[in-house]
Amino acid sequence: MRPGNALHRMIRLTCSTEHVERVLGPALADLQYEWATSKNRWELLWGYLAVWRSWGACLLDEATSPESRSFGATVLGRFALTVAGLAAIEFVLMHSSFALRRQLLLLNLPLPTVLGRVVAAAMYDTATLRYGVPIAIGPALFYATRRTGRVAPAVYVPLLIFAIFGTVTTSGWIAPALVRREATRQHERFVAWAAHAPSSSVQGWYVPPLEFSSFQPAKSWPELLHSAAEPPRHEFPLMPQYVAPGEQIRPAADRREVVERILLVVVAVSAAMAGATLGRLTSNDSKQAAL
Amino acid sequence: MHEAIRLSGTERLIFDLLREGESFGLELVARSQGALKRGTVYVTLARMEDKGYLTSRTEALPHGAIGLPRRLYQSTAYGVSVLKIWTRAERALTRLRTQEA
Repeated sequence: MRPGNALHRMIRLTCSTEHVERVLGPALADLQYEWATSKNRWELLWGYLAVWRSWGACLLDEATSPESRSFGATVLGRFALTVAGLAAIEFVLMHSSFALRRQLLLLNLPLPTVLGRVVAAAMYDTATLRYGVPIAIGPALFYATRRTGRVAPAVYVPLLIFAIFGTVTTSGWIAPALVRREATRQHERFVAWAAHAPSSSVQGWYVPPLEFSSFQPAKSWPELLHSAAEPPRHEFPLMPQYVAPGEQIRPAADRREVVERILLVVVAVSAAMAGATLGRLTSNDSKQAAL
Repeated sequence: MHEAIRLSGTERLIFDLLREGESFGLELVARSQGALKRGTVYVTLARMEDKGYLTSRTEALPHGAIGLPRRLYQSTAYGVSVLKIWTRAERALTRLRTQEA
């Protein structure tokens, strides 16, 4: 088997026929010819580097063409609309009425785990950020692909990177920051109330300081990874063997949260691929081709 | 609106190298003694073809040969004319600059 055949297949999947035939095909053909005549591994490596560089240039060229930019703008516009719609639904269902939210939780419905987590996340204004962002890229790509029909495959690369980067950022930094802010605000209000609680003593109630070590949704990526790798802490010097129950389960809970955030990235990529595939299958170009 | 005709240093070098006749991309890189890079030469050749400076054809593979066919490049008459006019204009501008100085 000649070198570069697998690379040629990958290139054909990501670049337009014109670029494959006129730029990357000749580069690969020269690479194969050079290998066949010299069998020099260094020359082969330089040849591969040259093809990858040309491939990068083609991807950049196709991803920044006017058609691709217009397609990208449509996707981003639809993405913003979908996220706004999901945020509105979250607000209406979860934040418009404290009583409704409390009732939902008190009902203790046998919700599937994922839905239960969505409801829990909605308590802290993060359901859209955490679950809506990775899902929203799917409908956005579906709409844009269905409307535009065939676009250069390279255009999906920056959009996929956007979906991954957006999911990692919103679930790993923005949502935890909001959770922290909301928890801190509630804690401060409670502390202020407890200081003058009707049944309190002269000193007021003691409220322990806010602690986030066992509260995974409030941890940003660096804090979560650091905490997941840290063994349970012995917090009581007078009882060196004792580990608090919350601390015993903390590393496992942190690891579960890491897995869940990685799964959110998988959800984003899957939603993007599903949206693009469905959009292509139902686009007018496809229908005409079928006829 | 027509795009302004331009000729970069790399494009002139490719014209020089193609003066001897048809050539493969890899041959051009080897003969340029490091002036042309393998990672960019194919993109430059495709752009020159778009501008009409070059023409290309795929090499006919011998019967039973495996692998991708290589591409041969050749200057067009239009490309050679552009090169001549560009070189003449450049010389005239250099002369003018010398006189002004």
